[in-house]
Amino acid sequence: MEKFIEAKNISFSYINEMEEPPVKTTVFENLSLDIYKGEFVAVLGHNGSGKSTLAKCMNAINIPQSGEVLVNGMSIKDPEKLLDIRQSVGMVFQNPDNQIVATVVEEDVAFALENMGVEPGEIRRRVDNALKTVGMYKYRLHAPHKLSGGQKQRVAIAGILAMSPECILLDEPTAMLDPKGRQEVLKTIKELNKNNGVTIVLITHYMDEAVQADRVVVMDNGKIVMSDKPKKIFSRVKKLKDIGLDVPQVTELVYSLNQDGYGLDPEIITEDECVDALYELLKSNL
Amino acid sequence: MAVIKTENLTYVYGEGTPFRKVALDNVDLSVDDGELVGIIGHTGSGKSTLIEHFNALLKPTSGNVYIDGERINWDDKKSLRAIRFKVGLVFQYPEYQLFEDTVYKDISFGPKNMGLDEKEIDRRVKETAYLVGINEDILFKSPFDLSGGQKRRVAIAGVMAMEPKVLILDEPTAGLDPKGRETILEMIKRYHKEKHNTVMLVSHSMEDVAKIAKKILVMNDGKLFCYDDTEKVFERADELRGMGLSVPQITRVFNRLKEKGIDIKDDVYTVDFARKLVEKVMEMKK
Repeated sequence: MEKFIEAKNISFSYINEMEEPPVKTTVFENLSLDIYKGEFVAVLGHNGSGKSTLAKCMNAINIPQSGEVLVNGMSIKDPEKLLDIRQSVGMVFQNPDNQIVATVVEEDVAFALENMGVEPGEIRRRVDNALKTVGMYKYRLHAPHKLSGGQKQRVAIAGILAMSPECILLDEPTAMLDPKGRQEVLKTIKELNKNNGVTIVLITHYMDEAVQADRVVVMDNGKIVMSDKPKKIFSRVKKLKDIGLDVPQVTELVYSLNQDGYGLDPEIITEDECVDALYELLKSNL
Repeated sequence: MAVIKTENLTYVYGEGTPFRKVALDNVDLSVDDGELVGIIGHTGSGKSTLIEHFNALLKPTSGNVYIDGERINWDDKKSLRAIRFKVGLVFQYPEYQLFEDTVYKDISFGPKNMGLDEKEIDRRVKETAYLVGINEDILFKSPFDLSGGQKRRVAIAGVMAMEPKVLILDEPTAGLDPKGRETILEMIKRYHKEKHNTVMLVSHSMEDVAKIAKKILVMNDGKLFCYDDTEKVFERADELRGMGLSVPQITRVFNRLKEKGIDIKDDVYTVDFARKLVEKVMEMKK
């Protein structure tokens, strides 16, 4: 597979110049991570582990003090490439209210395109397409503040999508949503990945979302401690709990039953797999 | 004895404008003293509007609210102040409301406004700091130097220190990592156990609600859908799904096992209980 984002030995520190002398907080040192074209990667880690800082290094919001980040071969340190990078890697944040600027849904989606100087006919076409892709076309003339949280997040995604990015970074996009809103957003993300081939990097605290990714990257105190298929990651229940993370309830159940010698498949991470395994177990005893 | 009671409580936003919306529709509710209640409902179902009536932030369009047996009288402004001391409300992301220059001063803000003497204020600050797991050496730091999870605990402590008869928390775990969520839930449980006061918690996480609430209040489209014991509410999985909610993953697993013909209880909502249940069934068959 082709690499889309390459972070090589990057180090990043925040410097608080309000203090005397300035206080330096190192988020990570010598960190490397590759994101492949078309991949759906979930990033887990506790608050303060460096996930968001890393994501912001992937579209040149943060420039690491050392090391190199290449986006589709372009260096994020090259000011000439800044706009190209931001157009090919879009970012969606946690709070939908902080990223909607216009008073009509379709104008909000068109915002970036207008700034990019795309011609009006093309804007119309792209805005309509983006809104259809996220299932918000019929709300195109609505006021964003009247929408639900899940709908607002989908409008925010449409705004990114209209720029036809190759990759979308989402930083806890579902943290403020109700269960239905979370489902809507996750479904949209998965469809963009499968049908449109958009590379997805999803930062989340929800294990049931991470389970659906192709690969899970786990961060702890500025280091990448695991990077593997979801099944391989979540079956390491103890290790995850030790670093303050969680596993899906079904995995936890299987793990605790196996502690008592039930010998179930430790790589069970979905509801379906758990139902099947327990059915076999309990059926044989009826 | 009911600590909170509503009679035909109705609230309409934007009366007389095109945006008129009935946020609460004839809600009759009675919550007994000392309960630990989870409040669930989709976005816009009326949860926040409901709890804002419990400490007299909103005046009903029609109907009545009784706190501790006494009807809230909106014409008597002085009595409203007493209500706000009786019912403590912790808003979403309460850490944004920290403002003092030390943690100690921030926690003591509420008790001070109640006109308590220095000694009593000191006792309360120290006791609640202990309850929320804030060490005494942190008390004289600036709240802005703390981590996100600590800030939130300090903000919650500020309301707990007023020792309200009813403590209401709106999404206290939103945006926290699994360990942070666990810490907050444990702390709420401990407060409830030690103070025997009524606690109500609004949450989108069914797993969180299942973990600590004895009773669940479900709001749907401005109406009270039900108020019942936790296991009775999660038995109504299909209806909850129909209103955009969900039940814990583990509950879905056992519902499906039952549908497949396994003779097993299906009012399962925690992993611990699920493990015990499976083991009991296996024991019995041996």
